[in-house]
Amino acid sequence: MNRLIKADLKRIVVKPTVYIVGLIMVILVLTRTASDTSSDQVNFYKAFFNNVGLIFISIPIFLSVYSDEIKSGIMVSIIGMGMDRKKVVLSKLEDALVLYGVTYLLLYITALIKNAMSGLPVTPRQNAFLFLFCVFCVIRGIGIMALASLVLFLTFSASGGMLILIVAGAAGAGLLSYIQDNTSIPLYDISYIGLLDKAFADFQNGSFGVTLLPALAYLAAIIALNIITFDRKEMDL
Amino acid sequence: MSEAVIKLENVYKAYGKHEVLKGVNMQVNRGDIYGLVGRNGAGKTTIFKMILGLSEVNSGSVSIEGSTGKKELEKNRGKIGFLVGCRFYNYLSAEKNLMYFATVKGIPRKERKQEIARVLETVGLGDVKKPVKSFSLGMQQRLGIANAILGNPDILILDEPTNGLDPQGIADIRNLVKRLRDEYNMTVIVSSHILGELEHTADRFGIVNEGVVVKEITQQDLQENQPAVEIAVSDLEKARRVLEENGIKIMREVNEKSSLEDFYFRLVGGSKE
Repeated sequence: MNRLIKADLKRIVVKPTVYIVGLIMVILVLTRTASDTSSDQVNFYKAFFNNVGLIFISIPIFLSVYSDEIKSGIMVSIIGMGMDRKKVVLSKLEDALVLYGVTYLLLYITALIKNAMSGLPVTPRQNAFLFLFCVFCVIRGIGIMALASLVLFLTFSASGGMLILIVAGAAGAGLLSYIQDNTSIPLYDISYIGLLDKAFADFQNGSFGVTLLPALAYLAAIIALNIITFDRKEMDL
Repeated sequence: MSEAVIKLENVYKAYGKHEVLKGVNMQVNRGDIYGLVGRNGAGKTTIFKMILGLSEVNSGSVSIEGSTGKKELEKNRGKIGFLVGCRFYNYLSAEKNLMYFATVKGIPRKERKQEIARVLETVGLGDVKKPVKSFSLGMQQRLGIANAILGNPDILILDEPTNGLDPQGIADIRNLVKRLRDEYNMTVIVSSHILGELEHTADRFGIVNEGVVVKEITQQDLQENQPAVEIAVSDLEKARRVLEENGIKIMREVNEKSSLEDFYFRLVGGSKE
C-alpha cells in the first residue's frame, strides 16, 4: 500500500494545477485583511479555509487522486497487478489526506506570516485553535472526498464524483441548515458537517467535543462502503 | 507432464441474463506461447478479466501457479505482466510512467532506472522523455509491452498487441514475443482475432467461440490436420486424365499444413470471405 501512495504522490506533485491552486490560496490569505482586530482576522481565516478553501482545495485533489486514475484506466492495471482492492481504496484516501494536510499546513503558516506582517496581536490560544480548525477542515475534506469516491466507485464516472464533491463541499452545510431551519428535522445537527462544527465549538469552549466521535463513525462507515463497493466492482478492460 | 501455470476449470460468467463464458476450460503450460483466438465478442477479454481478477467468476475456478484462494491469487497476480490497452498517465513522460509502475510493483529504488533502461531496450523504444500523449500507436504499444515486462514477470498476457500496427510493427511484436519466451523464459498468452498473425507466433492455441474454449490445439495438430498436397505437373489436363489412370510423372510435391484460419473456420463455422 505504501508503494502505491509513494508512486501516486510522486506523479501528483508534478502536476501544475496543485501548485497553481496552492499559490492562489496563499495570495488570497496574504492580501486579504478582514479588520483591525485579531479575532475578526482569525474568523476570516476560518470562514475562508472552511468555505472557499475547502472546495478549491478539494477539486484538484479529487482530479489528481481519482479522476486521472479513472480516465487513464490505471486503476484497472493496478488491480490486475494483484493489488488488494481494499488497499487501493485506503491508499487513495491516504493520498488525499496527505494532500489536504500539506495544503492546510501551508495555509496555516501563511496565516501566521500574515499576522506577523500586519502586526495583529493574535494570541497563542487563537493560533492554537486556528491550527485545530485546520485539522477539522482536513477531517471534513476527507469525509467529502470519501463520499465523492463512493459515487465514483459506484458509477466509475469521474464527473459523478466531482458533482457530489462540489455539492457537498460548496452547498452541503447551507442546504442542511436551510432544511433544519424550515422543518423540524435536525438534519444539520446530525450530519457529518454539523457534528464536526459542534465538536470544534465544544473544544473552543473548553470541553471535549464528544460529537467528533459520531462524525468519525460516519467517516469509518463511508470508507467501509467504499471498500465494499469497490471490492464488488466489475472492471472493464 | 506439462506444468500448468494458468488453468481455468468450468468457468462460468454472466452479466444479468447475458452469458459471456459458458464453462471455459483451458490450460496454459509453463513456457507456452498460448494463442487465444476467436472473433470479437467470443469471450477472450472476459477470460483475461477472470485471470487478472478484474471480474468475479460466477462458478468454476481460476488457478494461477496452482493457487485458487483469493489471497494466493492476488499474490500470484504479481507474477503477471499484461498489456490490455494502453493505460498511462498522458501528462507524464514514458519514463515517468514506467517509474510509477516500477514503484507500484515494488522494484527496489536502486534498481528502478536500470530496470527501466532494460525494458526500453528490449522493446526498442527511445525518446522516453516525451509525454505519452505525443506517442504514436505503435510507440504506445511498445511502451505497454515495456510496462508489462517490467520486473521480469513469469507470465505475460498480451491482448491484441498488434492492433493498429503496420506490417513492420506486427513483425517486430511477433519477434519480441518469441524473444521474451526464449530469452526470459516467460509464459505468454496472446490474443488476436487476426489468425494468420497468431499462427506465426504461438505454439499452442485455444479456440474461443460463444463463451467456450471449443478446442485447444498445438502447431503439431495444425501440421497433421488434413494435410494438403500441391502438385505441379507438366500438363494439367493430361495430368487429370493420367492421374485417373495412375501413370503421369509428378514434377514437384509440397506438403502444406492447414492454416490456423482454415482450422478455425472448420471448427466454428463461417468463412474467410
